[in-house]
Formats: sequence, C-alpha cells, structure tokens
Amino acid sequence: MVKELILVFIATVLINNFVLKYFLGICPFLGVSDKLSSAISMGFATTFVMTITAPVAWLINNYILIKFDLPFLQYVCFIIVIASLVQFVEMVIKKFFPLLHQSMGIYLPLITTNCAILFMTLQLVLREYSLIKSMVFGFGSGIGFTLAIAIMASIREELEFRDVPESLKGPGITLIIAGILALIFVGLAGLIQVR
Amino acid sequence: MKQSFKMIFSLCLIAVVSAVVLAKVYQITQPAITANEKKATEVAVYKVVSAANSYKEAKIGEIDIFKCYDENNKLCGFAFTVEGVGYQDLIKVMVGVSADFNKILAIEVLENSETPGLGNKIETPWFENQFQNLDLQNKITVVKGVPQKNSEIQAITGATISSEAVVDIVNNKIEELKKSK
Amino acid sequence: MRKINVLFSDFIKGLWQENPIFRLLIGMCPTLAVTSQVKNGLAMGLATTFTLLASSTIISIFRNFIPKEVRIPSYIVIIATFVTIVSLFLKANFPEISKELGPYVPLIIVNCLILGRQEAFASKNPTHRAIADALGMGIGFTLSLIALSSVREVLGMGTLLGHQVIFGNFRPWIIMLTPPGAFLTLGLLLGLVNIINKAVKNRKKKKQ
Repeated sequence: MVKELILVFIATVLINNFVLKYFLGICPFLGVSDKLSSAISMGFATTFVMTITAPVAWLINNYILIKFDLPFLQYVCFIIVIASLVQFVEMVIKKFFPLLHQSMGIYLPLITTNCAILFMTLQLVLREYSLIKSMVFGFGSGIGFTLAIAIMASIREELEFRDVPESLKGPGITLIIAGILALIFVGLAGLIQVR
Repeated sequence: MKQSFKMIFSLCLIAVVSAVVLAKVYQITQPAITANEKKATEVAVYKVVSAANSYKEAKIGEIDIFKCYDENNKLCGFAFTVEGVGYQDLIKVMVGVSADFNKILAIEVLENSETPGLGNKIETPWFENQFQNLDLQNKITVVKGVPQKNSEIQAITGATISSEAVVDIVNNKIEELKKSK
Repeated sequence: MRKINVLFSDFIKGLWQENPIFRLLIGMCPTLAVTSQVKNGLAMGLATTFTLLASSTIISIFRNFIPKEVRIPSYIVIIATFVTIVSLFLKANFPEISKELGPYVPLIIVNCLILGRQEAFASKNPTHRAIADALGMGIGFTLSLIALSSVREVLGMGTLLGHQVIFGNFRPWIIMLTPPGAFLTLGLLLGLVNIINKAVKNRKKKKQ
C-alpha cells in the first residue's frame, strides 16, 4: 500500500511531469519563471491548492455526482470547487499568515486558471484512484510543477547574462529550453511502471 | 444586505440555468454516445473473433467477457478486454480466444499512449498478427529474434518494454480466466 | 460606414496584431498538447472558437446584470457549461476526435484566452463588437494551431491531414510528435514571427 503510494508520487513528479509531459500550467510556467524566488512561491502555492482540491473533488465526485447520476455536471462542479477553494485559501492565509500572504498572495488568484489543477481532478476520476491515492496524486502533481518551474527559473536567471538572438528573447528561448528539459524528462520514462 | 442578496441570486440563477441546459443536452446526446461506445466494442469483438455472427455479454467468475456465436448459433470463441500499464501509460487490448480456450484467435490494441514511432507500433497489424493462433498451453513469451516456438512473439525493435507489457497483460488475464473457469 | 470599420478592426486584430498565441502568448496548454496532427489542431481550434463565441455573446448580452463582485465565478460557470456541451457534442458525433483530444477538451474551460476576452472585451462592449472580437480571436487561435501542427505533422510523419506529402528517402523526425518537439517548434515559430514583425516595422519606418 505505502509502496504503491510512493510509486504514484514518483511517477507523477518525474515521469508524467505535468508541465513537461502533459503541457499543463504553461502560462505561469512562462510568466513567473524569470526569478527563482517567485517561481518557488508560485510552485508551493499551487501544490498547496492541489493537495486540498484533490480529496474535495474526490468526495464530490463519489458522493454527489456518481450517487445522483449527474456525470454531465462534472466540469462545472470541479471548476467551481477549484475557484472557491482558491478564494478560501487566500482568505485563510491573509488572515492567519500575513507574511506568507505577502510572498504568495499575488499568485493565488492566477491559480484558478492553471489548467494543471482541473486536469488533475479529472484524471483522478478517470484513473479511479482511492481517496488517499488522490491526495498523493494531487501533492505529487504540485511538486512536479514546482520542480519544473524552479529548474526553469534557475536557468533563466543565468540566461540574462547570455547573448540570445534578438528575435528569440523572452518566451522564444524559454520554450526552446523547455524543449530541452522535456527531452531530459523523456529519458526518465519507463523508470517505473505505475498508474 | 441588498448587495449580497443580488450576488447570491445571480450566481444561483446562472448555476440553475446551466444545470438545466446541460441536463437537456445530455439527454439528447446520450443515446448517440451509448450507441458509439457499443459500436466500438462490436467492431473490436468481431475483429478478434472473425467467425462470430453475434455475441452476448457474460461473466466468468468476476471477469466480464463476450461469448461469441457463429451463424449456426454455435459457440465459436470468447472475447474480452485487458488493460495494464505499458512504458508510459495505460494500454487497452481486446483479445479473442477459441471456444476450447486452447489458442488465441487475434488481438486488437484499443488504446495506448506509447512513444510515437517506437512503442505505439504495438498497434500495427505486424505486431497484432503475431498473436494469431498462438498456443495457450504455455505462457506467451517475448523474444528479440525470429520466434522459434508457437508461444513466442518477436519484440518491436527499440520497444521491448511496450511489447512485453502487451504480452504480460494478456498472459495475466488468461491465467486468471483459466483459474476461475 | 464607421461602424463597419470598428467591427472590422475588432475582428482583424486577433489574426496577427494581437494573435493570442504568437503575440499575447495565452492559451498555450492546448496549443502544445494537441498539435501533433493537423486534424486534432483544427478540431481543438474550432471547439475553442465555438466556446469563445458562445460565451462572449451571452456575457456581453447580460453584462449589465452580472454583479461586478462575482463576475469571475459567473464567467467560469458559463464557460464550463459551453465546454460540457462541446464535449458531449464531440462524443456523440465525432467519437474518434473526442478520443484523440481526450482530457484536453475540458481544459478549454481554463484556457486563459477565453476568460481573458470576457474580462478584457465582452464585459465592456456591445454584443455585435463582442462577437466580432470573439470570431477574430478564435480564428487567429485556430490558424496558429494549424500552423504549428502542420510543421509537426509534416516533419514528424511526412504527412499533412493524413496524406503523404514528403516522398523519397525521408525518415520521419519522431521527436516532432513528442513533447520536446512541441516546445522546440513553438519556440522557433515565435522567433520567426518576431523576425517578420520587425521587418514589417522597418519597412514602415523607411516609407515615412
């Protein structure tokens, strides 16, 4: 049981990395990856929201959508859950952890439209995960996102002092670096086989 | 107070309208969606048990299978889906076996997201056809050269893991079926 | 006459000047994910255009009734409704395409392009202008997807829309079909668009 959870975690972080394999969360990946400190804040804010969203989405799916046979409301319900949880998390952090809010605050509203979260909730239904596995999956997805965006940010900090062709400056070169990173992560596929 | 009432009211209104519209659309599209799914299964079943003229859903132990009948209504084979993890993600295969459970008739890979150009060659007829008439007395094995025995499959060059994954998930299910039969 | 000019400029800006993918850099996730074949890129483009058009129309009509404080949740619910309709429609009528696009259809909901246009345009402008804007942005998005997927399909499989276009001793570049290929192609195309833009600007300057 524990072994399986660890495998799911490793698989979501390294092998099926949300950013580099499924192209999720590309907007923040391009937008917030110019400085390592802000990239890490963004990453942890996302991880936090994902870890909470996963079990809530699981409960809603199993105890409301399946029970009352309402599969067509899945998308609407999940996006409402995500939007309200993001709001809720922001209020809680603002009230109880003002310092944390200063560093994380501006990224929180952006998380609602991070497609990684919606994708994660839909996948845990599709893969018929249990409640605990869902939580590990949500946490792992967030860590995978953080890893990708942090690696990217540290490369881009170095890149500022390099001579990049004029027309590729900014997003162009970022995407090309992302391509090379994705190539590295392809090498990790097949490390373990788990779903 | 009036402000928040307006907010709650408009949000609820939007939600209710959305739910009603979706329920209606779902009702209209549902028959077509079920028909599509049924047709996809049908095509796959007739492909792996080519002698079949009709089939019935049944269970062996806990496992869902399709009992296939030929034109004289005689049992001519079984078909069932197997799934498992390949090199990257889920592989789903429809398998047809003979009525006496002695050999595989054919297989058809339904879903896979293996590496394009390497692993996803498990979908090619060359790979699928190797399974035809395989002996089920022994376990199917994967070899890297030309197969010598009637229970061997030649691996796809550069995609041994994907090839082995298909063979493994087929083997496991057949083993299970043999036990519960 | 002036009215038509306004509508035309609302429409045309989405095609190049404010092209969502190459100029505004939004809606990247589906762009990268489904463009290994032209067929899928086109389907994704059309599905997004429909959702954008429908949501922009509805939201622009009701723009004065939706309270400012809850506008974002309201927009998201409306968008999610249309995406569910698209998804059910695809499943019922085009099961093949629905299977190919798979999990990326629901992700249209969080395509920043759609929410962005509601916030920036549809919620502030009359309906006919919102429709023109949505059409322009949608078509600009679709054309960009077609451009990207053409490069990837031709180099990755030697085909275009499933027809063989490269003959002879060509060995397909499999990497173009995989995630790294998507990132590299988009990065290089972005560079190309920048070069063209610069050349156009320089020529305008010389004329003056």
